[in-house]
Amino acid sequence: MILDIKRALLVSLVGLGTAAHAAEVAVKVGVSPIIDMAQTYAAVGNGYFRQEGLDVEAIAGGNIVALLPGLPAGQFQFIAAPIVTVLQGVASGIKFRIIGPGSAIVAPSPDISPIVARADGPIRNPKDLEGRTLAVPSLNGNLWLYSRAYLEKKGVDLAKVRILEVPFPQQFDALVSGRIDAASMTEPFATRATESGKGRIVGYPYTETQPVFVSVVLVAMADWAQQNPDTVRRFVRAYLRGQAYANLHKKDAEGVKLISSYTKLDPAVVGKIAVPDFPQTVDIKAIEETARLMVRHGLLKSAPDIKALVHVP
Amino acid sequence: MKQAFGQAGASGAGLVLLLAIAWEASVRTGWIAADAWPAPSEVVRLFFEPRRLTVLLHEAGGSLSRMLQGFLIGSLAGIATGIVMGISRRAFATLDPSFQLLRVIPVPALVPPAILFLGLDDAMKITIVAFAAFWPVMLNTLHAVRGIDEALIETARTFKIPVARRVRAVILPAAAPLIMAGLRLSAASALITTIVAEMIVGAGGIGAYIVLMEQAARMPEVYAAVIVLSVAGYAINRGMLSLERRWLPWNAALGQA
Repeated sequence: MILDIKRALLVSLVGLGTAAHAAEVAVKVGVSPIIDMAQTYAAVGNGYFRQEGLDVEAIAGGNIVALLPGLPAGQFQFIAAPIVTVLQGVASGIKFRIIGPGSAIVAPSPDISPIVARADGPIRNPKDLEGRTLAVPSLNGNLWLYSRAYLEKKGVDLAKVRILEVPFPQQFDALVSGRIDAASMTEPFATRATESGKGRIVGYPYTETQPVFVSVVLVAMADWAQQNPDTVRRFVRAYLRGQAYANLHKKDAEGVKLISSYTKLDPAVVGKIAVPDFPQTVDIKAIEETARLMVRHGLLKSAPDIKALVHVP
Repeated sequence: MKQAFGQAGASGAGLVLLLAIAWEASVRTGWIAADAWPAPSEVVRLFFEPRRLTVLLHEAGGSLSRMLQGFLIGSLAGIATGIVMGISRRAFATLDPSFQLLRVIPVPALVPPAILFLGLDDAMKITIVAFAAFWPVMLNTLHAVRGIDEALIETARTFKIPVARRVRAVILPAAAPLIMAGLRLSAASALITTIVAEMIVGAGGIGAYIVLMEQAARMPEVYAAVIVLSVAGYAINRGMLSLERRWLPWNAALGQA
């Protein structure tokens, strides 16, 4: 009789456990260990997703752009991706929907991406880049677009500037050795360059072109989002809590601990570098401006209807 | 002979040491002062930090596990296919054109369709590694089978030995030296492919670790990972050579080593 009771208890415990687990919805989100993803790592680490009844599995990749094809392929349901890549995907027929904000570079907050030239070199302002070489991390990406827009705004003849692709980690060495004359950098490399005394900041392509630049947005596939509105709502709620956390703790010990834990950046370095903003809403006007620049610089044939792309759950 | 090998071994180690000293000197004297060129003393120091060492070994273990699985699958498929194509003219005529088209595809080009069909986890990476490991083994097996002394085949036919036994007892032993050479090539290729796939897709392994450390501007860690890779590659090659010496002691191609 005792054995029966024990067995009954065991079965009901297992049953309860499975039922509780079954109530959780399992979703996957694509991530990359960069600063812009702090909100996702915070939401996972602080249990925000769990509190919304979501069992979130983070699928990590080295390069967000290489990871992005996984979304239409159904490998994961959500990913925070660079706006330029998302808009290009939309233009080629991939049905992305913007369901939340990501990181944004907002003046007067420190801009994370300065153009850096050699401190002892001839380049002091943008006009000096005519006849010279500027490095960007990837052609046709966010920084390529805004470096060109920035130079144009400053009256530089783009035809006279040679733009090369050099990955972030190699930019400083290429600059110091004279292989390039300036580089559009990001953190932590920008701070390392200026701290070394060998780099001099020429300007800020993001904030000097556009005071509010939406760098990364949270996307999902249109069909899936339409079929799973409740899951999307819950995910976005938890995600926005992560945004608030990341924004609040950007510069304090908690935030530094979070960022250095997944980016593997030295905590002392995290304290020194510029960190993007993590807003609560999607700034449609800012994205429209980006789309306009993309058309101007040949990345898009025509600007898509941004309002129609934003799918507020 | 052992003495000769001993001397050769010493001069080999000596050269590695010399290169390491030259590297250290180039940094200390300031001749090469670059972010991407840390002093080897800084790199080696990382191996003595328990937490860092644990992470490195853990990631290396993941990479080697994926590499091994892909290598085994690709090699077995390569041997089987090579034998079939070597024996059957028809199989060769049917498969060869497709193979010639497929085998030159570089790994980075394979990754996007692989992500589409196989996902982002180990299964995808192992499949890509198997794909890369397949070719050297298949080609070597094919040529080995084709090159078997006709007398052996004719003798087996005369005695009416069934195909399966012919493969096991005549063809495989005769083809074994070339197949082993193909396996050694394929092991190197498998290791490189594993790392490249990890660099592109991320999610664990030495390749992802290297990219992560690069982005975090921690070059000494990058070089520590590279050293782990080099040692792994060297160990795998020597391991396979000693296996070959044990299984195929008649293989003169191994020479004095």
